[in-house]
Amino acid sequence: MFRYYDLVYPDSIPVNLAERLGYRKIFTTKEINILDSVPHSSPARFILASKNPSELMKALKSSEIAGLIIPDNEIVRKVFEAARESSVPFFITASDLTVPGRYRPRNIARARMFLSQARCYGADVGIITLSKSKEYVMSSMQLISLSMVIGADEAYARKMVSLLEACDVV
Amino acid sequence: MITKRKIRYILVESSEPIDAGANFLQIRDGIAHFIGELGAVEANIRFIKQYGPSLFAISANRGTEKRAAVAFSMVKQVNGKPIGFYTLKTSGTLKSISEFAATLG
Repeated sequence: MFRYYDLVYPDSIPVNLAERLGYRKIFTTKEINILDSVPHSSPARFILASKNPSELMKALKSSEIAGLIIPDNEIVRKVFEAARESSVPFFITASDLTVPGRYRPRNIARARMFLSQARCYGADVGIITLSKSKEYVMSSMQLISLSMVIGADEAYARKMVSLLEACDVV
Repeated sequence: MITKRKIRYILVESSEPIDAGANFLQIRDGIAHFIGELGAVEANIRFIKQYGPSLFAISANRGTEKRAAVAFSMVKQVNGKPIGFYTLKTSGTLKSISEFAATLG
């Protein structure tokens, strides 16, 4: 049975909401740092959010890396291969997929392509809301359903929502 | 032959207090914006009951509840006010939803 986790920005969610939304725990970016470059020495686990292939490759060599976020879900094939070998997962940010307006269909289509390509290369892909405000918080049920919208089957969608546990950050 | 409508009930919580019954047309418009008019007809989403200031139940045709759950996450404002909706539980009976809602208070 999967246990679900999420990652949000601090103060975007009341503390007691995690259980009723179906999560075991909702992490904040105070607990798991989101960085845009690889630090020289990191005291804690971190997720790198970058489009720069050389920065992403450098992060994969770090022992403290917990996952990678590629903004706009751009497809970088050589990073997919390296991530598969080092077993570092990618994370899709769900708040980008629910943003109102004309960019939403584009973001969903890109996430769909990203998931498909990453799985072709054998890399693991997770999903987190990374919400900045409470309007963008989602329940575990919604995250699983959204994962299915971007092309995951139900079993893989459940795995995507529980992937923070596999990152050894719990 | 008359066939019974097979439905699923969904318990929804909002980030802000809302009278979901009075504002359900606006919520349904937001849902239809994502799943389309055809999807909205297929899902046949209806307001059922308000349990608290930010807790209410809706019904959707069986098989469309996952799509309805995602569609609720796409609704970010009602009557110009920012709001988020979280689906907490899905069930085939309203009794089960009511019991779960009672535990949440």
